[in-house]
This record gives sequence, C-alpha cells and structure tokens, in this order.
Amino acid sequence: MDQRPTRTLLVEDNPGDAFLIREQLSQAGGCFDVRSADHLAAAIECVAASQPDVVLLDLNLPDSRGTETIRRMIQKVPHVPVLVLTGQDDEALAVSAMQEGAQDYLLKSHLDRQQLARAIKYAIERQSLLLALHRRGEQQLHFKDQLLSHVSHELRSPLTCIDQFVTIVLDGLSGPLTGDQRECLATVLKSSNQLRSMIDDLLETARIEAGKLKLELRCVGLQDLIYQAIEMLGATASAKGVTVHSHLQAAPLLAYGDPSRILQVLLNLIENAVKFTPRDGVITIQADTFSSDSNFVVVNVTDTGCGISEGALPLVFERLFQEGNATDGARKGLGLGLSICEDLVSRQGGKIWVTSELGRGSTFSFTLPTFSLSKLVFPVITENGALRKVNSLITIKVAPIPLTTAIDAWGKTRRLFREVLQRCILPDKDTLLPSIGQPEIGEVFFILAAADGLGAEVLVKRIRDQVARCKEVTANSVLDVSNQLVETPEKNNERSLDIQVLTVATNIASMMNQAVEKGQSHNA
Amino acid sequence: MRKPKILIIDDDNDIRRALHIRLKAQGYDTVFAADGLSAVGTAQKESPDLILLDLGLPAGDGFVVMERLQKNTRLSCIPVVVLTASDVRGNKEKAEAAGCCAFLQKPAENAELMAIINKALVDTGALPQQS
Repeated sequence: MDQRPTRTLLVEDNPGDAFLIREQLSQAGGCFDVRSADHLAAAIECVAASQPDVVLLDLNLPDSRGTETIRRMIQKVPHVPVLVLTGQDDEALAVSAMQEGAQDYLLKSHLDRQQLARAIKYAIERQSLLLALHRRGEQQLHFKDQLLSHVSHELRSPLTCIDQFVTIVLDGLSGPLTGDQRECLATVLKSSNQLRSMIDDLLETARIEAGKLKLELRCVGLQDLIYQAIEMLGATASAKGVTVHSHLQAAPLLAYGDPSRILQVLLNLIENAVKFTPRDGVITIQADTFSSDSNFVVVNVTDTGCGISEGALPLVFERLFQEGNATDGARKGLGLGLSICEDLVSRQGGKIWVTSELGRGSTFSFTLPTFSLSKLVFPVITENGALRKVNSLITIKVAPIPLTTAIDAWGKTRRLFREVLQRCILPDKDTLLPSIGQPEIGEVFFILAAADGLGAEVLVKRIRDQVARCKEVTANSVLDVSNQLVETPEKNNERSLDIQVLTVATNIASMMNQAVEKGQSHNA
Repeated sequence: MRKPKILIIDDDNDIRRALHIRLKAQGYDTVFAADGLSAVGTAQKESPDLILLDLGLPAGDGFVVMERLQKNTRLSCIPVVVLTASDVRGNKEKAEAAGCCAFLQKPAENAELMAIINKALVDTGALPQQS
C-alpha cells in the first residue's frame, strides 16, 4: 500500500473540538494530512478543490444543522467517505446519518487516537468497496441492454429466412400446393409472425431501458390514427368473429404527441382486446376531451371479453405480466406489450389505466395532452397587451407520397419542408403552426403571419421561391400555397384578452380544418 | 427488351437464394456478391440495373459499398435499394445521405419490395413505363 498521508478534511465549527481532533490525528506520526473548514459551504468547496480521501463532518454547523448537513454534503460530493462527528450520544441521529450515506458515526467525547485512525481507515475501505460494487452493477445493466439488443437482432435473421421461404412456397413459386399443405404453411407463417412481434417487443423494451427511445412530438389528429389502427387490425378481428368499431366526434380531436407511437399504443390495446374477446364480441374505440381535465384528450378501448380479475388489475402494466385467459388458445406472448404502452404514454405526458369487470369486459384508457392552439398563438397575435389587428393564415399543401415509398421518406420530406418554411418567415412576427396530415392524404402546413393580404402575397411568393430552390423538396410536390385573412373580433373591452385570443384561435382552427378537409376530398 | 439485371449483395446465403427466387419469378436476372470487398468489382463486371444491398457485410459494410459506388461515375447512377435487418436509429438518414434510393427494414413485405424495385427500374428506363 502507498504510504502517502491520508488527506483528511475536518469540518468543525467549534475551535476547541477542532484543535483536539487535529491533535489526535497529528499524533499518528504524519499519517494524516489535515485541512479544516468551519462551515458547510467552505467544506463543499474544499472537497471539490482538493479531493480529500475522507471527510470528518460535524453535523451542527453555522450554515446547516442535523441530517441536512450530511445530505447536502453527500449530494455535492457523493464519492467521498464521510465520518459524522457529534457531541451528543444520539442513536436516532446516528441511524439517520448512516441512512443519508455516512460511513460511520463517532462521539467527540469518546475519541481516542487509535479508534479515530481505525474508523477513518475502515470508512475509506468500505466506501471503495461500495463504489466498486456500484460500478459492477452498472456494467451488468449495460451488458444486459447490449445482450438484449444483440440477441434480438441475431434472432431476426433466421426468422427472416423462414418468412421468406414459407412465403415463396405459399405464393406457388415452387409448384402448386394442396389445401392441406397451404394450411400447414399458413400456421408456420403465423407462428413466425408471433415470434417476430415478440422480438420486436423485446427490442423495444431494451431501447426504452437504454433511454434510446426518441419521440417526435407534434400536433396529431386522433381520429385518423384510430381509423388507421382499426383498418390495420380489421382482418385479424373479423377472422375471429370480433367486431371493431369506433365512436368518434366529427370535429378533429387534436393531441400533442408522436403519431407513430400513439398508433403503436392503439394497435397494442386493440390487438389485446381482440385476443381476450370471444366470437361475436365487440370492441369499441372512443375518443373525447378528458372530462376530468380539458387539457387532455382520452381514448378508451372497450371490449366485451373475459375481463380481468381484481387481483390481476394492478399488475397488468407490469413488465412480464401474463394473463392466461386468451379466448382463442393464443399463445401468451412475452407480457411486454402493456408495459411498453405505459412507457410510451407517460413519455408523451399522458396516463394509462384499466377498468374491468370479470366476465363482462375491460376498458383500457389513455390520455394525451391536448394540442392547444390558443396557447401557441397567444404571444404571436398580441402586442402591447392588445390583440394584433391583422393576421393572415398561409396554407401550404404538399402532395401525398406514393404508397410504395418508405414511410420514413415521408418523415424526411416533412422535416425538410418545415426547415424551408422556417427560413421564409420572420421569427419574431410569424409562426409556423403544427402541420396536419398523413402520407396517404398529403400534409398541410400552416403559417400564421402578421400581415395583411398584400404582405401575405409577398410571403407566399417567398415560399414558392424557396421551395423551388430546395432540390430535395421538389417544387412539383407542392399542390397549393394560399393565404387568407384571419377574422379578428372588433375591439371589445368587456372581453378579456384571453377570450379574444381564444376566439381568434378558434377561427384559425376552423380554417385549418377546412383546409385539411378540402385536401381530403380533393384526393378522394 | 432484355431482362433487367439485379445485383444482390447479402452475406446470408439463404437470403440471397430467397431473393433470387422472388426476383426470377418477377422476370429479373440476378447476380450476387457476399461481401463488401467483391461487391463493387461484381458491379463493375456485371453492370446491373439495380443493386439490393444489405448493410451488415464482411469486408466493408453497406455504407462503404455505397461510398465506392458513388466514386465511380458509371456505377453511381445505378439505383441502390438498402434491405437491412439492422434497426439502428439514424441508419436510414445515413444511407439516404450515402445515396440509396430506398431503405427497407427486413423482413420487408415482398409486395412493397417488388413495387420499389419496379419503380426504380422504370425511373432509370431499364423497364418500360407501365400503362
């Protein structure tokens, strides 16, 4: 072992006590290099600057008292072992100091040279053992993440192969098939698909664990997503004799979230509902403003299935929880789906829960923050505490992309468009509103500009020029750029500014909806 | 018109075989490479109309292959479709920046893959426009 003196920081406000302890330590024949501090702030500064091997800490200092002292010390410098010194023999204080992370607790009145030296040595040893343990724990966690992601990835290759060759045979590329053979192969395909979705869940969980999940929050029309989810699972449900339908209001229900993640949650919940609902059952999807808090929208997925027992209810969102009551003898799965849902929903600022009655069915509900247009436009359409008089809404419609193009190409185009548009506007006066759309119907972008008709024309021209110049977003994918004045209420002192802004925001929202609806009928 | 020729670059023998069967059924000719090193040479020798490229390859991954293809004036105009099992975030953007015309995650829907190949071949004139 190295023989260098143990660098010790003594934090003690009583000069007499400090002197005595220094005396004790100096008798150890140069084994300790002691520095002193008489209040906590100075001590923390000193630890940061000189990296001592151990801290002797009096809990009652001029600027901090009791366990608060040790808590603040450990918070600032978690790696240094701390020995707590105290005047009184107080078992409770000792225990709570240890719980806060102190390595030991010494009575000042009972200190002798050997005991002090030994306590310091042990404290340092224990702390380094703890650190090593902690480090190993972290390494193991990291290894687990890597293992999960590596294994799931390697499992995919042979699965791809199974999938490929089974479909080759099923498609008749290796000769005609009998009905029996077709049925057998369809079962193989079904099983390999199940396996694949389990691996996807595993990868997703690994990704969430490793903090690698990225969300792209934007304004999302919930109705579209619900229709899309129903469409995607319609065949599975009807094959089982289960009906899926939706109860949705006509006015767009806008949430602030990541559309692909919301769709993932919807698919998961509906798939689950299908799994646990017997033939002739019904699954209903509802979406509305959340009655308990209008800042949220709520989506309910209700089934007429077997329901969840009271004991299992609190567990369904737990990782690896499995319910064995599937109605079609379906395999259990990994029990990761709902925990992934919970994670995705809470990361978007919402909540997910379930209510159920055994034998009658379950309702899974989740909330998402409402997209609030008036909150967004408030700073833009007010100036000097009054409503800005002239506002224009510029609408830029982008053509739908061919279905054969990967969905991510669509995401890229959208991003590039936003960048181009952002360059066209005056950031302190105009604002780029959330876009609405989907690959199939095209995307509509909106700019709220502080401009009259003429000013808006100028901006429209600038947008056309910029789009034409950007070769990644070919100009011919822009269907239409147009501008419209936003109706602003006459000056009315009886109505608060908030209400006036809300009125304008409502006008803007209805203009946006019209633009999107026109786009849809145009493409239909 | 001669059959369009597609170069399949994938280190998995079975995947190469499966893609060959699929593409043959669609009326395409196929040639193969199993690693990044031989891929560009094969492309030079065979002058394919399209390249199907895996990203995880021995001796030079898919990105390296794309980089080498881009450096060669004759090869740089061959459309590259990336077909990969890797789902590392950002790979798509990286591959697009490296010059691929489409990016597909394995296991891809066969119909989607065939549609993308067909479109790319029509775009370059290797296939006639469908009426």
